[in-house]
Amino acid sequence: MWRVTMLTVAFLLIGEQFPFSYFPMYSSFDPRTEYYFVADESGNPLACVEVFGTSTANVKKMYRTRLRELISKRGAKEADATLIEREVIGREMLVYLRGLGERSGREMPDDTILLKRVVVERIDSGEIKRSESTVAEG
Amino acid sequence: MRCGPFSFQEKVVDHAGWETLVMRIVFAWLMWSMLPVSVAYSSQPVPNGLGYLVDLTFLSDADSYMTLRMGFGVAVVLFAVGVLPLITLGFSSALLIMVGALENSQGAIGHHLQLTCLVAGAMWIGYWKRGSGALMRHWLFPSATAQSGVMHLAKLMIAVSYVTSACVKLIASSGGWIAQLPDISLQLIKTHANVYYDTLWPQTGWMATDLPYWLAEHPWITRIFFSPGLFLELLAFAALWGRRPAALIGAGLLIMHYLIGIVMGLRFSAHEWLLLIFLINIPYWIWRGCYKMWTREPSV
Repeated sequence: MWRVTMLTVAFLLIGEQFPFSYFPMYSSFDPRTEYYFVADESGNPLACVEVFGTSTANVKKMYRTRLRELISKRGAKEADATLIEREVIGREMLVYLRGLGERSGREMPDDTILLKRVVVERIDSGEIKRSESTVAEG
Repeated sequence: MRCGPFSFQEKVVDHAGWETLVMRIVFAWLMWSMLPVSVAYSSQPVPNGLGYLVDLTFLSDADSYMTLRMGFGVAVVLFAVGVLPLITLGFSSALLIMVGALENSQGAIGHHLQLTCLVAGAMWIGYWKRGSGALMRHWLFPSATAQSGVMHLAKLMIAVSYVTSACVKLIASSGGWIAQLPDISLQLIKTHANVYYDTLWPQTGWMATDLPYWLAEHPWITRIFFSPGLFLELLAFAALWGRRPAALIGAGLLIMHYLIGIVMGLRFSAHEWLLLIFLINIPYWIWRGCYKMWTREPSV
């Protein structure tokens, strides 16, 4: 049992440093969440895995990591990110996705593509609301 | 090779040679299936783990990677048959860890590879510890006793990962994980949306269209349904108490993953396979059932 305890404490202290992990999936739940997807210029969604070779879950994580990195420079939190900061990182993500798709031998769309954000909220009555916006185009 | 009496203490199970052979074969196949055919990441924008120490972008060179992947294939086959595990498992673990670290250095932490890498790493340490000071023969073909000890380390790593995951749930939610569970409904909406936007396959089933809203409207049923998973993870260390506890905990966790797969559309295939290989160990229970039928051994 002492080995389990020691290793558990070690995993918690090391955190997310590959190959170590503390497996934080669904470790807490908020009454508000968001997801992202990529669309063509008319707003029709593109199949992210097939078109770019990565999942929308990864797009969200990469986008948020880059956004946090940008706004931490001014000592702000992610929730305080301005629309312009979101757009800057959103455009960066779209460039990254095109590059990733090209490197894995995929044919990239010639036209403008959009990064879309959907916020989902659960209000006290149990009702769920959604709102969609365009983060960036590129 | 018997089940042995039940006890609440960590116990290294005395696996037969054929059992550890089956475990190695399936684990070797799992490692092979986890290694991508190609690596498209030519940069490490947000280095993570091993990525901090080493520039792993050389893996995106197609020719070098193909050579490494072929070497990986040979290594896992040799490891499966039990030859020079310190070298064969060492090489395959190192390559899998490097690929995983590069993937996780893109700014998005995924969780499909860590447990396989941790299990492989723990097994490698097991071979190293048991091989040091031993004869060359033991380095080439470790004994059945050594293999049993190594398999125990694999189980330890699996158990610790689940216990850690449970602890994180309690820490991150400030002890309110069960109270927060009704908000899992939003995660269901999100994961089904992710599946749709990944593939554009319509998510029209009841699980995707109605269940999240039903869960949001029935918070107590949601809590009762999902909270056993937390306790199961917290008690995962009991899998180290012997064959039966390992099989029971393994089966419980496998059912938990299966239900998560159905409800949320999220699969943790590697985790499921690791539970099947090291904790549940189906071949042993089949052998035991047949043995009991043929010999009419009184039940233990």
